Amino acid sequence: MSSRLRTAVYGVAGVVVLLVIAQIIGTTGLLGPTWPPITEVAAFLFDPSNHRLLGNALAATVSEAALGGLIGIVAGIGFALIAALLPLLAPGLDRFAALIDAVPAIALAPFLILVFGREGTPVIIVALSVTFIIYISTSSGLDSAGRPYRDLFSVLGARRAVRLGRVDVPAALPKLFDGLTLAAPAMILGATIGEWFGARRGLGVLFVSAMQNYRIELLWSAAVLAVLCSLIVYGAALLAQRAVVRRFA
Amino acid sequence: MTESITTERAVVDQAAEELLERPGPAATETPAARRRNPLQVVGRILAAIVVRYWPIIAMLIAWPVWLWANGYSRAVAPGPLDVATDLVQHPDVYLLPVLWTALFAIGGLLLGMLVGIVLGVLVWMSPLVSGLLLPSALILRVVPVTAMIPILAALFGYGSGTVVVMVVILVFFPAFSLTVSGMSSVSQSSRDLFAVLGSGLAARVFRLHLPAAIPSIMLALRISAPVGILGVLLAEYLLSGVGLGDLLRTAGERLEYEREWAAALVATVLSVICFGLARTAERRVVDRVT
Amino acid sequence: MSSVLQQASVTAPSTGSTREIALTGVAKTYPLKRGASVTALAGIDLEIADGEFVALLGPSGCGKSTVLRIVAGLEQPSTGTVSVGGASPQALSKAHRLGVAFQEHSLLPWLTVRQNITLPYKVAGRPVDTAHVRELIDLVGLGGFEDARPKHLSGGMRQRASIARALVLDPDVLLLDEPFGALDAVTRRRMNKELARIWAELRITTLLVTHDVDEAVLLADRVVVMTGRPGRIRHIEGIDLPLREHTELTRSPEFHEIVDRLTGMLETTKAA
Repeated sequence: MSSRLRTAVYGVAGVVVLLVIAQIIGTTGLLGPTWPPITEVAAFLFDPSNHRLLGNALAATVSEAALGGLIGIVAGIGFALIAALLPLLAPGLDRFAALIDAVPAIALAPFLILVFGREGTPVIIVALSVTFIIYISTSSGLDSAGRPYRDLFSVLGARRAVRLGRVDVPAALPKLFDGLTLAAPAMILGATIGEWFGARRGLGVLFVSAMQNYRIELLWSAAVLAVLCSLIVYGAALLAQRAVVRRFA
Repeated sequence: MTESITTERAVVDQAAEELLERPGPAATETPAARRRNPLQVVGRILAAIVVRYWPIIAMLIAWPVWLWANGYSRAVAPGPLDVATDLVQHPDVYLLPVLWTALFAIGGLLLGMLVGIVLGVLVWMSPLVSGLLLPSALILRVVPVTAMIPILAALFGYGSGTVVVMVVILVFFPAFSLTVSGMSSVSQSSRDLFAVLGSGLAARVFRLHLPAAIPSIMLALRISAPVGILGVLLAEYLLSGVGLGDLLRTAGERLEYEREWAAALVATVLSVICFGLARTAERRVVDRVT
Repeated sequence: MSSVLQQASVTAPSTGSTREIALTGVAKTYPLKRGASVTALAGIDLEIADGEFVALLGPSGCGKSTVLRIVAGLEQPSTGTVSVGGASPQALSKAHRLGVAFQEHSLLPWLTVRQNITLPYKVAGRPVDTAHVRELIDLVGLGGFEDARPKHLSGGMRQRASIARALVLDPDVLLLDEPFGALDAVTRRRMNKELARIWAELRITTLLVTHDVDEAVLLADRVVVMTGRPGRIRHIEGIDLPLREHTELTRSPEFHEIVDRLTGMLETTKAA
């Protein structure tokens, strides 16, 4: 058995074991009535009468995550290019990015609600965290072409913008896509945090209302949907990243 | 597949660190040029501050301008001065919540690190167990904390115990995956050396693999610090009646905007301090072991 | 000027420009913390004539690569002057008249061999002379591998591509920094002979940095032996051996006499 196949088999087996344990905890009531059997969560998810509620929430969260993610990707790449082309601005942008990362999203909420409104806040929280990740990964990618390449372009008499286009940007692509794989779960997390501050719809709203109304299957179903979304985006980003690495590294 | 989201996150964090080390334009001057008259020294320091912090300075200027341009009253949108005033006049309101939040965050952080490291070592010893557990850890890792908090609250109640459990879980994953990947990063030649020396499992773990994992473990601490604080704040916001998260929510509900903003500022400062402490700890320890 | 250079074919290099290299009293010091400094080079005087091949030979860390980096305009001398083709190195690279190959081949991994060799045209913003590129690919013996990517090539083939790229704009001056340093001994010797053959056709002013005595003697008109800490020129050996590209050369007693003498010089350098 090749090591890759073995890894895959172990991984699948591990997930199955995890699900079985969760199911046993649920059916035996080991952790009380608030840990449902996985089969009941699945039944709830597949029950057509729940699809409208879950679908609306999912659509709201996914569209916020997608819009915020797009803004974040564009802004992150843009700021990284600015820092690369205008080195004078780079130290400020680097420190600002580190600060944005250290600031808890919840602390920004009052400010964001005032400026962007309750419906816009989830999008902006997603955009901020994605901007940070993409800025850092792109910047370090733009720095990643080694000294020989820099020396070569310097000796060839290339202007900064020429080197950026011909070496630094292609060399940065693998790291940029690394950043995208990381941004995937951050997108869903950011959207649901933003929804806690007064959004009308979304998985984040569903988590809180299901908890308060003691609707355990709904709570778990929404959580499963959030995890699946993150994993799907993560998987897509991972595939793209592998392809880019094959081409550019 | 040991490179889980956590280790990739670690790579981005490492990149952020390296960017902060980028020499700024002010750093390239020769030492001799620095010792001149005081006016030039002050000017140079100011220039260095502007170069490093211009986006924050721009925000501080833009904020009152934006408020004024949109005609917001101070009751809805407090300016920097209003926020500062409330902080200075009522320090007692903030002190206890800060202590609670810090206590939960730091306690949960240390506990989570401990559990993560111990389990990481145990799992590393068996390729079968680590093969079984790492993908599941990846899946659990992407459960958003916003979903985790309500589920834990339903399981363990709305009290402070739930907050601790949640921080431990949040911190556990980076510590666990980075311990495993750090211990696996030992070079073949070192492994061969220990094999030739005929060392037992305990010697290999404590003299070779665990020391080799220390940089990764400290990296996990640095990644977890802001995550832990955010988790505590969110949990306090939704559940317990104590801490900065609770202060944020109650001030918002009572429309005390100065207080809400000041609490947000204090939370930010607390988070930045924790992040800074974790970063310093990481540097000190990594300097010692490498 | 540049159009003249560009139209010049591989076999008939450009004429009319002064293409010699002159370093006068060049020293290089690097500042350390707390006002201290380290001297990497001291009092380097060296002239390389038009169409001459000079090898800088020395132990690692003796500053020979720093000399090349100064000639390439990648670093500024702390004192002294350097002129390449009658102008500053920077002026030469801005005019795209400098060719360089490093130990690390620095081929762009996402481009094919042909695209890599064409790169200097793109950087200079000039139309690509496809016939010239074709000729050069044949000259370095990479025919049939034009569309391969660097990762599919052997180390020796990568260095061939790297050298072809250095030559593609018919530079006035060719700088080679340990171009074969990463190759095994057998491949290295074969590449030496290839380079000797190519160079015999082109006769470009060339500065080669190497720590391999055989390589220096085999290729250069003059070998400059350097000592380290700080880097100084210890000895300059004029090489006058016939039939450089000939296989028999490395077996001749004259060749071995020079190699042994220079090797001895390097060994006493290390002991000092």
